[in-house]
Amino acid sequence: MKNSVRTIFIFSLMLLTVGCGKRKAEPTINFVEELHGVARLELGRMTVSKVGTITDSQPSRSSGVLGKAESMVNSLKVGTRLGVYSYDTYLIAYIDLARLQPGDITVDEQLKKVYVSLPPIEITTDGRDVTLHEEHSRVTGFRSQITPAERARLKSRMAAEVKREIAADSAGKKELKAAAEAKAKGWISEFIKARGYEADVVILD
Amino acid sequence: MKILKYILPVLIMAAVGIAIWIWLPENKPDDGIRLQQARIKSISSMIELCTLDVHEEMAIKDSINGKWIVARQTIEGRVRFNLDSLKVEERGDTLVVMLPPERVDILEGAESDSYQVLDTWDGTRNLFPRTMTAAEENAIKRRWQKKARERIYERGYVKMAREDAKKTLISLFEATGQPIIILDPLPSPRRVE
Repeated sequence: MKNSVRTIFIFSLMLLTVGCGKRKAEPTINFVEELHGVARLELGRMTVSKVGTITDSQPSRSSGVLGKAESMVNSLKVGTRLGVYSYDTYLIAYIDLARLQPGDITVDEQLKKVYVSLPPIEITTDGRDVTLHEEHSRVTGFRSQITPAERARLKSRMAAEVKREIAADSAGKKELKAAAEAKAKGWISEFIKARGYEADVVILD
Repeated sequence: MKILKYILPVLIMAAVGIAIWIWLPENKPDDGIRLQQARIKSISSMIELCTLDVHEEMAIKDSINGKWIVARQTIEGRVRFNLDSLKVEERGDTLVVMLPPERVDILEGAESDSYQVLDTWDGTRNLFPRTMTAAEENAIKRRWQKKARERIYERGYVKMAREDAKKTLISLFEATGQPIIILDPLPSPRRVE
């Protein structure tokens, strides 16, 4: 009797220990909040759209024996698994007004002319859509549903590629800069004209 | 000698096994992710003054239809003023400018690690748990986007941004040599639904 009680106790302890070992570690999240006072005159916005899909894995795209075997087993499952998602990333063209010097705006009262020399136009990433738009989704047969973790992984891969593509696309950025320059010159000239002066606006390179 | 006869083949086989393991390519199953080329959707021009950037890393723990999610998200908040609709009046020799209402934009950071899902579970079913759909996840994310916007108001950041906008506009218009007054119709802003 004593022995059997001891055995049950040891067995329970072992089960408990195994259970504890399998428990997931608590995720750690760092809370960060940063405030930045800025003075940006924002003149242009570019919206870049990216589409990505989550589909069945293919053995030809896998590497290693186990990797290929896993993909092969997946491809044998009955049904379809497809999700098409998209989101937008936003770029902003702006002038940093903190870089404006007192001598950058001068007035010639005799000629009734205002000379404005603005700092160069800069481009920055504003952010991306909070949500991921589901364009299409079809999961049938014995296929498992697409999980939030998979969608987050897709968005992460899309973001890394968007960053590379934006860095390489000089034509798009040039177009954004041109639109921003035209807007800045037009708005400032109109404002000065309304005060009865002629404007000469220059944007530095 | 007899022991060596049995151990040697085992050692050779183990060495060959390790060598194959090292030289074979890494086991990587295809994750099924396919990406298309990014395209420019639109380029638009505007004239807006941005006076405050808020960068926040927040933890999301929320549920919808009994399905739970824990995630980490980086948020980029901006307080902006549309200068296209700036009301400017001339009273004598003084320029009177009315500060427009602010717009608080909340976006997710553009970096690849700006959104990470840490855990998901079905709170109502242990057997055959349901998976959270994209629409449900988006509804939660919109809820947290709204909360982030409200926090920016509650913590007085919008008030701060309006003060900064006044200072920036004064320094911008002062350069023309004309006296200027900036009127703020909402010095203590509150979020209006």
